[in-house]
Amino acid sequence: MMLSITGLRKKLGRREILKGIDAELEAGVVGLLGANGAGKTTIIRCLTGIYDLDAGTVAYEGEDIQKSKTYRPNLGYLPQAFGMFRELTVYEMMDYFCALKKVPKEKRPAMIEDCLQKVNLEDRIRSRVSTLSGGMVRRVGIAQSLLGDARVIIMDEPTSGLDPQERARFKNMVARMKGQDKLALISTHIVEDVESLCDRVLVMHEGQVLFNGDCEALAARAQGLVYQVPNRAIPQIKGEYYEAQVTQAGSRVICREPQDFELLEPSLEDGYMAVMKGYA
Amino acid sequence: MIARLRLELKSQRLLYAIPVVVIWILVPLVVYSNYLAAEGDLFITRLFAINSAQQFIPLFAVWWPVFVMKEYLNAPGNELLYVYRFGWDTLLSRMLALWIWYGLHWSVLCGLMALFLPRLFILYLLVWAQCFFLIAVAYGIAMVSRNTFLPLIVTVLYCLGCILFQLPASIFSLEAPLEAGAELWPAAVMLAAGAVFLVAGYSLEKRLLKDG
Amino acid sequence: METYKKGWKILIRNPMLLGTVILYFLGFAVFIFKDHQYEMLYKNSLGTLRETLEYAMVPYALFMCIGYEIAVKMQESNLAETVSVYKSGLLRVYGGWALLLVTLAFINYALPMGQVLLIYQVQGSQSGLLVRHLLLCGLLYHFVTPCVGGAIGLMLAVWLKKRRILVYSVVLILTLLTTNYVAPILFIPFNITGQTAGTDLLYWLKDLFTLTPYGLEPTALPDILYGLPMEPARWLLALFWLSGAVLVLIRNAVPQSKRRCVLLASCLAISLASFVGWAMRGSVLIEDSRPSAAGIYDQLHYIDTPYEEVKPAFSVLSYDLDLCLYRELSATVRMELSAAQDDRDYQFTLYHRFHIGAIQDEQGRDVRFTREGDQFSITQADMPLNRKITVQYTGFSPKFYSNAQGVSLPGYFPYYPIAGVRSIYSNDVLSGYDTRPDTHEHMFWVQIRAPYPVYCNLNGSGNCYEGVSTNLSLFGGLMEPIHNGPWTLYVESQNRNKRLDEVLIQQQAVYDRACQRLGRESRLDVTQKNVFFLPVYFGFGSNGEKLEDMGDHWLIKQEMVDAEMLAEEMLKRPWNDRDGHQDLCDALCVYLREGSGNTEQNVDPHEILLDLQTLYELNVKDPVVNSIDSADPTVQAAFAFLEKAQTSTYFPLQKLDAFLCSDKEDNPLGVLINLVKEAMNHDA
Repeated sequence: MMLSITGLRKKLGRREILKGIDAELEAGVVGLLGANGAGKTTIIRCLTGIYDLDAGTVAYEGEDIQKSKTYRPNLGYLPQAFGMFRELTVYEMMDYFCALKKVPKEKRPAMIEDCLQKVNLEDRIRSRVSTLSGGMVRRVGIAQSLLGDARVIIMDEPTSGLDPQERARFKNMVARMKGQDKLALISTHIVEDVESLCDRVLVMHEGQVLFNGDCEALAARAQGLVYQVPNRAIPQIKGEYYEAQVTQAGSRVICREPQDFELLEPSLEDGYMAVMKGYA
Repeated sequence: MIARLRLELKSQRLLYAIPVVVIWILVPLVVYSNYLAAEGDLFITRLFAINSAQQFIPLFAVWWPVFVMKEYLNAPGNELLYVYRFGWDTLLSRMLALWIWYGLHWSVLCGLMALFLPRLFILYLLVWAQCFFLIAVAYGIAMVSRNTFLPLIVTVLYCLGCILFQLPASIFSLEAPLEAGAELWPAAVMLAAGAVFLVAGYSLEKRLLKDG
Repeated sequence: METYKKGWKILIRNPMLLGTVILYFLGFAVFIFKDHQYEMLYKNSLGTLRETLEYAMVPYALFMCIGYEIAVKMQESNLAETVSVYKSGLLRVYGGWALLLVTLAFINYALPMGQVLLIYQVQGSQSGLLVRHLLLCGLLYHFVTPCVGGAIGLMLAVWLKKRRILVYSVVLILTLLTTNYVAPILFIPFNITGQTAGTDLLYWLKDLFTLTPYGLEPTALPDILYGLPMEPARWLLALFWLSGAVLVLIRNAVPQSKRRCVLLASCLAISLASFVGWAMRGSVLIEDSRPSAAGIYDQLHYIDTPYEEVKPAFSVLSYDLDLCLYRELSATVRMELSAAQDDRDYQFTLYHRFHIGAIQDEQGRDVRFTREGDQFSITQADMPLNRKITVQYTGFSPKFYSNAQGVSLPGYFPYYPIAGVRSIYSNDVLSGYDTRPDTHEHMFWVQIRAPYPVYCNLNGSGNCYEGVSTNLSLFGGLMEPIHNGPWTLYVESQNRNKRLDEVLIQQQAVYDRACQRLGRESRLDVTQKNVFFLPVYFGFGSNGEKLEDMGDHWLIKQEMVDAEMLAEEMLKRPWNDRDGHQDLCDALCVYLREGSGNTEQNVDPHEILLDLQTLYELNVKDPVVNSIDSADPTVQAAFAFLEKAQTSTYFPLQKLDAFLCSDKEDNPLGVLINLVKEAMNHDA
């Protein structure tokens, strides 16, 4: 088990953000799904050691991350808000990160080039950071998280600001990580990214884990709950419901109770909403 | 514009009170304490009033304008403030309004001091002129540099330079009795220079977002 | 090191930061070297150092701004979170910034010190103490203080993050607190209540932020003399701020762990210890405008303290002083007293800020005494039979300093118990310290424990002295002796090269010649007794004394010799200081100094008389507007005429001298006119 989270609690101010999180994360790509304010960023900051835990433990290969000497050298992190010193070049900035990660000097040039190649920025290696667009900065951020051959890579909203082509490239890069002995934890609220990238998914809501399993299992949670309802028949729906998609032809609705409408095959998003709403 | 300005000042919350504290508590306290120390000698008290007014009041004239400009120049989502602007609703008009508002505070204070101390009219005019100049300089520099801390630094350095190091090119005339017949040409220079800064600043303000 | 190197790249590639740094150092270099030729001419290394510190709050504020702007890039670039993940990531980044600021501070130190050390070299002084003082003083204010500014800037970036206006307001406030700009505010409690406590407390708080030399204002130069800025208290203050800033940085940069707790606890302990050490600063010469400052404290203290001098009924036969100069003066004084002539208490005068710990007899038994103000007294009943007592006390004077950096205790100042009740300071017309030395002789044995040589008017060496004298003067710090045969001058180290002995001899000759021309006996001779030169900016007496005869030594103010005004001062000694006389005294001094005594020149006495009459009438009309100018040609010609008219039996100048010594109220011009008429008649 790469990362073990046991009874994790965290308060910020007087508000308890994380209310007892338990999870076992193996090598692979894990998605962290949740609405705004669910506690995704907080749990990430706990996993990266930025926050101290109020209760519980996080263990890396059986050892508490606070005491482990191998965790931080193997950790790569891309925060939600990422930036760099505008005065430095991309290479110098990557070198800066290498220095912080204590990567040996002789290995740095090749490693930096390799990481930048993965995000298609090798031609901007000598450019000043101030000349990069927001998306490019994000890509450099992804690249720096891969430095030092990190085994645990935690990314918070990695695809925000990326154009479709780069998003596709990012997905390919992550896909290549599967099968290597690495854990990639990707926090996002874009279900589509989770669907295409992740083996497993953690669904968080109000500081608790509502679901921890693979994507198929999450989708299956909405089995028998998703209906195609004509728009004029919406008022006839019995009990609680959620309109997942509204079109002129009709609405895709997730219902708590069985209905007399056409049943649909649930998607991952349906499963996510069903879990979030407590229908499943 | 006034309604918006009022809200902008309200959003400063406690920070709004700082110039008010300076005008209504600090300066009167300094003057009164010197009145007691001088054992009621109005001549000496008047000199202290002249010094204190020049030392403290112009320095804080840029406080409100700087914080108002901050929202337009540095705040996130400031583009929205430029979308919904019509007619006189400009930063320039805000600067002038704040100058008048600050000047009104000074007017009332000066009026109250004039009940006890004689011949404060020259001082009254000089402080108005100095406040105008400093606000205009802050506005002009803000429009050039697109930030607000640089105007604050420049105006503060100017005031301190004039007061502490007695640099030329200032109307600060500490220790001078400012009697009738005192030279007012520095005030005229300040007003003219301030007008130049305002005009230059306004021409930049009009192009503030258009050039990116 | 890598974060340090990258930090330089960031600084160099940022036009605003780089421009600011370059402009500052260029401006600083111009400021330091603009008067280079005059510095080389006057050869005063202390004065040169003093001038480089005149605007010391500028680098202090600038380094705060630079430290902030560099460190806030972490927040503006959204890098803080990324970096904090790495082991000691933030700490290493901040450490790199800090090292960069230290490097800049070193350049800030090297620039002025180059000039200062050059002047020292040219000055020719051989004082190791002076060099140490110059280097350490420069280190404190040109290096450590900017480092503290930089550390505060880093701290502000961590604490206030991107709130620039707030940060720069804090920078402004911290900078203003080092100046006298806030003096009107600090004086509010004193002005309202008339009591000094409130204002002194505010100044004490201001001192906590004053990391640059005291007394900074447009007209006052900072005080750096005699190592007082070098006091441990001032280094401790810098350490307090540094450790405080480091505390904030560690709290932000180091994740929660045992290591963090240890580091925080250490910083806190250092910070608190520094604060306590600074608060207990002891003897410090403060020369700003606060009520407890050197020039004002006693003036205020003695305003409502009328004095009635009481001649003692006894005398002190001998003093055995054991003095320790550290934070302040600690003294153990064994005295042997004569028997009292009447049944009054044994009254002594000891400056009120010396707190008596105990008075004991020879067997160590406590002796009862009462202390009130500057006096303490022992009743006849409580006095031991053998009249030998030991007084232990500690304290300091805000004016006559005494600490591990330097000592300036003239013999007229009761820093050891003096018999009787005598005034220390009077607020009458001649407001100032009473500089009359004691008239009785005493046997002195003195031992001084201080980390520098202390010079004394008695015989001895190695800080041990003994001898018979009327009073005991102690001076030390940045002073050196100059021996000219049996005659010794004690001079400030930076004035060693000025050949002050020769200057004194010249001045003595000028005085002797002038006395001869005045027909006066030359009573003062500065070449016959040892001379202690007092610091340049130390206005002792404060009613203008520049020369004091202490019986077996002289106290002379340095500027008297620098400006070659000593002879004039000696000449003026016997003259009455009343209004009206002063102008004629000055004119006569000018004549005696500049007039060649060439009596061969023909002058028409009638013309002189007419002009004098006109002057007299104008002077009577308005003595203030029509006062006598010291270089007035008519008055000078009158003096020349009077001198020419002198014979072996007739001395008109001597009569003029006698009049100036008297307290007659005649108009001086009238007297001069009469003397000219008399001389004309005598001539006829």
